[in-house]
Amino acid sequence: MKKPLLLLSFLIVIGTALYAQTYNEKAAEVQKMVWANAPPEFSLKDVPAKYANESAVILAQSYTMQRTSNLKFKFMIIAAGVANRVTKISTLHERVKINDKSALERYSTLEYQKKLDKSQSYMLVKMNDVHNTYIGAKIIKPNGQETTVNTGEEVLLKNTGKDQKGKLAIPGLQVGDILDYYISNNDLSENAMEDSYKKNDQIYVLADEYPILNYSLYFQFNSKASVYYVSANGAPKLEESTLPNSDQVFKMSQKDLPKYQSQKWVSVYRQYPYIEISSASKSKMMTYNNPAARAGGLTDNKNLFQTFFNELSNPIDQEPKNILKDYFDSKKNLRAAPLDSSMKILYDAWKLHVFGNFDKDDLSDLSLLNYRKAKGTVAVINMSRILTDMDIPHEILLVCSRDNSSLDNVYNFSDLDALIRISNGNNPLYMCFDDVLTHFNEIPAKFQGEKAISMVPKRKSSTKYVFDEMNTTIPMVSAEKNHIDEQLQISLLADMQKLKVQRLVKQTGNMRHSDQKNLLSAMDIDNALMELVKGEPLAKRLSKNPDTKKSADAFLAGMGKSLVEVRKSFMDEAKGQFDQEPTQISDYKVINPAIENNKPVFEYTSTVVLNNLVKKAGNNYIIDAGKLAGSFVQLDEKDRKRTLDVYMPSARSFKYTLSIIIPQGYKVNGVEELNTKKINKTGSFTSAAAVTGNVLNIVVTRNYNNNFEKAADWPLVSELIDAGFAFNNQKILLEK
Amino acid sequence: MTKPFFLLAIGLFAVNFAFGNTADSAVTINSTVETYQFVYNTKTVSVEIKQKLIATYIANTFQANVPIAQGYNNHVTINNVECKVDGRTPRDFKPTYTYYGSDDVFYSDQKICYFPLTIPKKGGLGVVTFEETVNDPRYFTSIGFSEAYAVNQKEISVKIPRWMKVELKEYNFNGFNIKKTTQYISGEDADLVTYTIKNLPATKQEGNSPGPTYLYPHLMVLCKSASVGGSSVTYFNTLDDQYKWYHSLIKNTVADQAAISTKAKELTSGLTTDIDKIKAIFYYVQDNIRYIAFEDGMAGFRPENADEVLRKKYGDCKGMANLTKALLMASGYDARLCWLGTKHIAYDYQTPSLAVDNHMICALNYKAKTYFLDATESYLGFDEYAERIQGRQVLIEDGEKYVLTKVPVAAAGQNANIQTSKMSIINGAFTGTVNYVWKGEDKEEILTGINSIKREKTEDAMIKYLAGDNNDYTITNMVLSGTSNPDKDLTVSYDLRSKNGISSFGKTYYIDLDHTKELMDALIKTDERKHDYWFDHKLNLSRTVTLTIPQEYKVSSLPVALNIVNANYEFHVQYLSAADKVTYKKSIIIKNTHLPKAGFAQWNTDIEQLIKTYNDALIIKPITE
Repeated sequence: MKKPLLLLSFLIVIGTALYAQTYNEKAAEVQKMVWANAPPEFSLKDVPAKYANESAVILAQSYTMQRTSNLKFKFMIIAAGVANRVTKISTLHERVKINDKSALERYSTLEYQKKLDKSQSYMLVKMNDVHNTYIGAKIIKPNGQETTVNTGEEVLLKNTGKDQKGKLAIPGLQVGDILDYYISNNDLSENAMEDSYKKNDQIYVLADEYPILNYSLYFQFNSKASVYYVSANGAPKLEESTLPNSDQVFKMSQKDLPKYQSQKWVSVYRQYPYIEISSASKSKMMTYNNPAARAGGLTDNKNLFQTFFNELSNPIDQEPKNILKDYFDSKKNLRAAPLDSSMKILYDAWKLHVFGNFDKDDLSDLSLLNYRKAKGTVAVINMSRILTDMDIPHEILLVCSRDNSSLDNVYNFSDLDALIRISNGNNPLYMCFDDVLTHFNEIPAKFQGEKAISMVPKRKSSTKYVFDEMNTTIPMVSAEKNHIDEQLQISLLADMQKLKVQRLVKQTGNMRHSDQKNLLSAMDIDNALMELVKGEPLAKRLSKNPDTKKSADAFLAGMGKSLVEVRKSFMDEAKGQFDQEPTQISDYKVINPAIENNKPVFEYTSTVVLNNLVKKAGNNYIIDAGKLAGSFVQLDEKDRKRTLDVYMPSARSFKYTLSIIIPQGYKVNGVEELNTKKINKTGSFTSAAAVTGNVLNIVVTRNYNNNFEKAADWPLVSELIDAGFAFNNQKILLEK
Repeated sequence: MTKPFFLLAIGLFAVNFAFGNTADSAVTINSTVETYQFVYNTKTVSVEIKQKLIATYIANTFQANVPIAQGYNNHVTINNVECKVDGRTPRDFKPTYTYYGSDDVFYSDQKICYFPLTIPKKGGLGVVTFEETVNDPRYFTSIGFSEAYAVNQKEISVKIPRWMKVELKEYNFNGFNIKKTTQYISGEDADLVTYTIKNLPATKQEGNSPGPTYLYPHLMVLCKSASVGGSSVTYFNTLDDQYKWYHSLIKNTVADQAAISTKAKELTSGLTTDIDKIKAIFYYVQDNIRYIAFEDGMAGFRPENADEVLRKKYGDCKGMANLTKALLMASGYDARLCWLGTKHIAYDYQTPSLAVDNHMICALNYKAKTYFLDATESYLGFDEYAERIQGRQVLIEDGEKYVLTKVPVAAAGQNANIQTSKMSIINGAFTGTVNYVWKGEDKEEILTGINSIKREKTEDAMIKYLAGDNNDYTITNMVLSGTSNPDKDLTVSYDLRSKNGISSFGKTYYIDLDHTKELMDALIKTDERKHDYWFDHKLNLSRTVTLTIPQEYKVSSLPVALNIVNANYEFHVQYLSAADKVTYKKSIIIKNTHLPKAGFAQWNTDIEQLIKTYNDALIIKPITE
């Protein structure tokens, strides 16, 4: 039976080839379709007076996407299968008035993937995966003269049979012109792995680099497609309808969209309106092996999260528990240990298991090891099952990072994160699976104050867990716990031009992670993790892992820092703090690496010599005392007006204790001006100065009470910033 | 016309593009053996150069990763690539052949073959071999010795049959351990010239450095002629030969003369003087033709038709020069194309080679004077010259002959950065007016910045720039002019209020009258810097601040003056007190843009003096004290 069918498919291929459109024919067809069917706003020529001074104004911008899909039988070598054939035509059409050279530069070149054929053949069966891009452009001169751009003037940056990358310098384009162009992507794919909500996800933020007079979205899906979309942060709902052929249509249009204005401390996916939309095949067959393919929204993804508890399809990784057992040596010892002690070891065992195992690819840049992040959801699923097995009562907290969309606007599984809260009387214990330096019972700043779904798991069988759910909020961590304390001993060098500054820095909570990653080596961290849980030495772990076995020497040699690298790390830190490169640095070292929560304060010291902070004034000297506490934020005039709420990284506090040695024969002037106090409900800035003997002591504190402030309270936050900046400019006079 | 330079750069730094060696470099090149041989290809009836480059890398660390890349193009073919790590070809060895892209070139036919070389063990060896053919001796312009990694030993052999006339010109050999031997091979009637080098340091990329042809040892290969296969071919035996070839490329570079003439007429309509007409044409090309480097085959050498550049509104230096010339000629002026190497290149036309030049401009002969018009410099006025072409030898077309001359060195006053301000102290803050004037390349720098940002942000950006990014420096009533008139200076004036620079302790004011403090960060790290320092352009900077002393106040202490004068630069700082005024005058003049390493120590001493002067405050006190 096979032969006639193969023959038939061969004939079909031949037939198709004979009648296949050439690229240029298709390009002409697309051009006609885009320009002939353009709505009236694509004929606009005038810019409203209010936008006269803009670099460019988008007169009209539209995204259209049409997806058709159907299942198609494919005969493989030994079996037949079903291929999901998806065709997508998505077109960006934009008409823009170019008002200056900056915009001319931005719009004068189009670069695109002209063709990409990733089709694969298995014997006589071909799985198509073809991409084509068609572009078009016309220029409308101020006198109304319209010229269609010859896209044939493109150059090909890549030109193999299956892969062409095009680039077009738009000829004749000048400041004052209107450019009307489109980029139409045509995709045909039979690759089922590429057809999921995650892979087809599109986000449209309703704000652009330039103001947009007319904006529209139009999506059309045939009846075989499942569609899910989110309108977030005030974006309008899409208008839904069904065409006579049963195609579903989702569309919206808006007028006069403002341009995106960058501001300090914003969370884009929480504050700017956007629409996120995706589609996947409706067929159950296509999701059989990929349950995530059509998981859209919070409920679907929460359910998906719960299905991953199935121990048969997703076996428990028992290694953290094994390390825990080895640590306590006997069940009796483990049972006898206080809950917070045993859970801390279990958490640290997880850290060693995850961050103490490496991938061959890590060798490409070992300096990135300290910056690896764990996948919270994956870690929680495993840890929760271990805890369930150990009869440790706990909840799972499903949450979204403050940097990502809110829980209400979850779209894909990757939008979700999770942590564990272990019942412990009035002091619950948290396990958060983030970076290598997160402590047991430390809640990362990105989750603090966030709404979450609490789920208490119960194991019914190896394949079934059930969950009691309720809403909850993740606690905030107070500003005092995210703290930097810096003590500085300052003296003038003999040349009376440079300052020697001996620093002792102590950091806690969220404020320590950045410097820890910079100043500690990956080897320091690995050694500390190993010691915490009496884990296996690095060399043994590397040799046990087939991926790193052959390259163990490279890891062992490269994970430490050379003396030059250590010096550079401390120099970079000092440069960031003082906004200038010290002329010398010495006596630098980490005093406490703070890898574990028993010793949670990251502590280091260094001595630097700074230039340009001393000014001679006759026989006297002026010192830029305010700059010794580091460089503070300053606000531009445009920053002072604010309508967006304020998403700061965390509640946090700072204390700088400056001890300036007064040279013999000099007295200090300007001490009183160093005393300042500004306190409001969002935080405080204080400085207090006094002379004791030959030392001028200045204590500076800065607190931001919350990680979030309403826009209405921005003036209060600004007050504190201004007070800090004013202190930054304070000077003292050493008078002979 | 950056093509020739690009060829040169690829030639000089063939194996590795951009990765400089550091103190703890992952690899050292233990040895390289390079052989070059001129051969006659009877099939193509042309002379070719066969080259084989073998580099042996030794790993200084475990898992040493080295990006290997070799350039090629229409004239250079890679015939074979091999890679062995500790004696074996790596399982995943698969060189990628692709177009070479760079930010400043829109399109180039230059391609690269690249692959990663990973040596797993410390002390392990990686051997990389490239075999290549250059299909035209004109494009075989140089042989570089230095690499991106330190080289323990290198051998370069060039086999030159006696039928081939080639000159190998040695550059930058001083200070390197290079030995040369020459051997006659009678069987092949060829000379074998061999250079051996030991302990060659790695190349190092540093900002404001001279171009590589000034820095690293290399051979310039001057292919003059060949007498083989029963015929003789002359390549670039003399500059006449090179010009002849160039001249053949610039014939018929206007296809639609009517379009050019119409545009020229439109641009000069209503203008009465020649200079106004010339300027109108030059400024039109400057302002309306976008610079886009397009280097595809002969397009790297042949200017695009002037009417095409006019239609497209973009072009490279050749296209822009050609359009300038065509418009000028259509208006009745004597305009010529000319070739030159910018100061990035160490050579001049004494050595005829494609490596000599990298730029094309237009020359205008008007009333016994030659003006050079370089429209790629978007904001330099007529008869102003960019540092990169000043004093450079220039080859001007002159029918079948050529004229060899030099671009003028600009007068000291071409560039200027002048600030004058009048200040009073009101409520403990500077209050007054400030005026700036920028000329020449200083003006060009500011205008380039202004035009690269969105126009609605221009004012904010300008204020930020003038305020030195300090919000305490409050600027109001800013008036910026000269942004769109190339003949006028760029000026800005504004009112200022700033507490920055004034410290008061008791009733005494300690005053810093210099808000800009140029060269404050100009100390050169002599332990790190390898190359001479070349300033972007000559500097002629002055600051004059006149401070009215408040009533009932007197000057208590004037900072000491500074006067540093030498052949290359001058620093002058002076405080003058007269009646109720103190005037602060500063001038910084960079006369010679080349600061050699030998001058670093003196420069640092002088900069320290300047910083010390900057850090000295003016003191005024109540008359009663």
